[in-house]
Amino acid sequence: MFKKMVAFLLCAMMLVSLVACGGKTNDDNTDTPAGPKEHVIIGTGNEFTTTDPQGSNSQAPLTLATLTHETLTEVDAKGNVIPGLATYEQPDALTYIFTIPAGVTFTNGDPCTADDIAFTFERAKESSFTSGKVSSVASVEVLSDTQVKITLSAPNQDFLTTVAHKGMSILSRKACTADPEHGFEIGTGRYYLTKWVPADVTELERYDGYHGEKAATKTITFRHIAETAARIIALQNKEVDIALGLEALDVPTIEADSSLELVKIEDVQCKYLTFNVNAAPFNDVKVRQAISHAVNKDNIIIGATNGEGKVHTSVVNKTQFGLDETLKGYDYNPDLAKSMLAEAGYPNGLEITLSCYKGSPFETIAAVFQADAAKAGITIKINPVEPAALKAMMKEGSHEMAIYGWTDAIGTDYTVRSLLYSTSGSNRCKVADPELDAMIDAALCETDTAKREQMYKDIQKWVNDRALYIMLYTGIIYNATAAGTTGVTWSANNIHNFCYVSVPAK
Amino acid sequence: MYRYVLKRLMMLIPVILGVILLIFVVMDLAPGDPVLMVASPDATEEELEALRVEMGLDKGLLHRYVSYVGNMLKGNLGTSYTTNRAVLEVYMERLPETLKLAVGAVLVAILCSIPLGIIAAVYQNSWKDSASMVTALIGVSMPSFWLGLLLMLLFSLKLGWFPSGGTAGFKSIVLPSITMGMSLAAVMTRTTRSAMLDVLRSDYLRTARSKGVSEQKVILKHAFKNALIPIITIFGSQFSYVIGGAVLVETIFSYPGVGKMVVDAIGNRDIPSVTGGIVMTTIMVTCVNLVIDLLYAFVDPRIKGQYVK
Repeated sequence: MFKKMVAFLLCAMMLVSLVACGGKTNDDNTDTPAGPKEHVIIGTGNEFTTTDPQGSNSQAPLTLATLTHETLTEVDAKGNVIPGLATYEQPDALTYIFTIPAGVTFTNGDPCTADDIAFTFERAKESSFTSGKVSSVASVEVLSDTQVKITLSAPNQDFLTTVAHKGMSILSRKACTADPEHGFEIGTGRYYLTKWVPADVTELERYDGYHGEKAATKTITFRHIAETAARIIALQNKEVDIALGLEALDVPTIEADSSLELVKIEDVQCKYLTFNVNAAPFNDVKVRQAISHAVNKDNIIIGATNGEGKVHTSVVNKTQFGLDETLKGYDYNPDLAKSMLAEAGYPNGLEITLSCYKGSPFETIAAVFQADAAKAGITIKINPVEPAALKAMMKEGSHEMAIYGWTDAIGTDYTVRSLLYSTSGSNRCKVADPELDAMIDAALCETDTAKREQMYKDIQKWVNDRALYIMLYTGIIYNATAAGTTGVTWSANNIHNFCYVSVPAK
Repeated sequence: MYRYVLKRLMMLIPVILGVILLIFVVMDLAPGDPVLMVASPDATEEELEALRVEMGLDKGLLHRYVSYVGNMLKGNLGTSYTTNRAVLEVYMERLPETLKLAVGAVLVAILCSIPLGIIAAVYQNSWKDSASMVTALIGVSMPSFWLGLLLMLLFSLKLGWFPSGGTAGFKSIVLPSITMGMSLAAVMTRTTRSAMLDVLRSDYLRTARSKGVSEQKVILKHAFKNALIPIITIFGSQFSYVIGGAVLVETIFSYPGVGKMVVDAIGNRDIPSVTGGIVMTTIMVTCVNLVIDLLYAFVDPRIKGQYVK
């Protein structure tokens, strides 16, 4: 009886092995005998939550828009605005004339005209993700089939940078009107969407009617692989050709495998600690300054990024116009922090609730800060919450301190306005100061570049003196590819351009 | 029998209504505003209010509940706040994958647990009994995410036998099924052992042996058949568990099942997806339980008689 049972179990295991040994597993990659692969698969941890370029500011949907759509202008690696779909002239401070080349078509074959540009701006007003980007546009006038004039209500030195944002990708009026649920998927890009299964797979195929340089790869598939370890295994197993969003701990694994290449990019996303300046005792600048001296950024970098991050002291992102690289911030000095707290009326220290997202790196940052702040007599109670709860807390202003991150690297005005303007929804510190608002408005309109740069430096100093935010660090983005992969334009804000990706066939 | 089936299906209605009400109440009480999860952080109050109206969140709980039930009766489970796709469409896309995983996991569990449970019962208190129970204990003790990663490293990366994830073909279901099945097998092994022990001491088995029936036939035909009722019960509850709760396995193996869909929707405060997902899962679980109850009738004619009454 026992022997028969064992025999049965062994037969079952043999059956599984026979199934397993029956051929290669990664048969979804068909290779051409020579030259680059026709089908490239990218493993990503981020979900494509929408296919509407105007429907999100998240990295994944905007990465998709980079493939399927185009914007009027683009921003190069050095942060300079260059022509995109259109060339442009600026006859005066309020007027921009964009000209698209003749013969540009959408991926459904329809011609792209100036009217589609006008439509894009009209539609942008209706989305909370893009309405702010077109708020300075007074009118859009179609001059001809290929030319459009945009008039602003006030000078906006960041306007050309703003229209380079993937959220301002040009849409087809005809397609969007005919199919409001999917028409926005049609762009003038090098690829068109063939399949979108949320949180699973997104497939694109090359558009052979593209007006410029054709893409090298016939199809690109994004596979959503939530777990980082599974993503690396899929890459090593050659089930995917590129794996995005890896961690510092994965670097040795990638470097040890000669069939893979590690891609390291200095991130522009800055993690920061924010106060709620409307809540006591954080409405006292001395308290905020004291707490700022209780933050050991070097320890946080070691804990959160394995030592690979870099201290960042300004609300303005790296690579953005006007960044004051001489801004020192507050050094870690627990004794000074203690004495400053005593002067502010807290000789026995403080108890603070620090809210953050669950998981790495936020809870790591919180734990390190908790340990360092304890030396200054500050007791930190960590409150890890879900994204929905944290967003609600910061919107309502019911937080004391929080850990968050800022990632948008397009347009200095967009960054400072979002983080500091009194009516901004991203103003996490809840500052509402007419003087600061006026400084931000003035910098946007200033046409003299040197003066404008100084104005942004003044804003950074103003913020730093009042310790509204404690900017912490910028990290490293880790991606990995099959060896020999070329054609990817890696981006510090994680919106990578895969239009010309080329992976060598095995 | 048909009246019994109809009666069971009718009982589903108050269950569904109660489940929907519970979800609405819990999601209302949970911290976080669904509008903030779909709007831009820079959205103005007017834009947020307009979105709230568009999403129906400006109405009271009761109004939304009645409206949802009315739409559900027309086959409309709402539209996801996050992806703007019909919830029913997304659920039906994922359901076949979850069912495959459920069937695979339970098959693995049955293949492991039935032989182990029978061996443990027949050779009670021997080393074979201990080995079977230790094997079962190991299966239930290993966290599924850990086991899944280990299986992936060995069978996918080192040996290249199976893909590490996704849904490309039959091979992609093997590792998730084994991962899920190992923890199910532990419970089923113990149940099989207990059920068999109850039956093995029966007088009719002694009669069978004294009549010269072979030991194999005594165990497999007479004893096992009479021990099936509790085994089928546990099989049904395990199947229901996989349908609703394979989130960790789905995450590790990038498996687009309904479990992860619902958990992600909860995190995003995507109320239509949460409600629709749980309602559909409730229906599935109820149907599975009904099938299990009907299976009893085939296994035990005495139970069939009760259904017919």
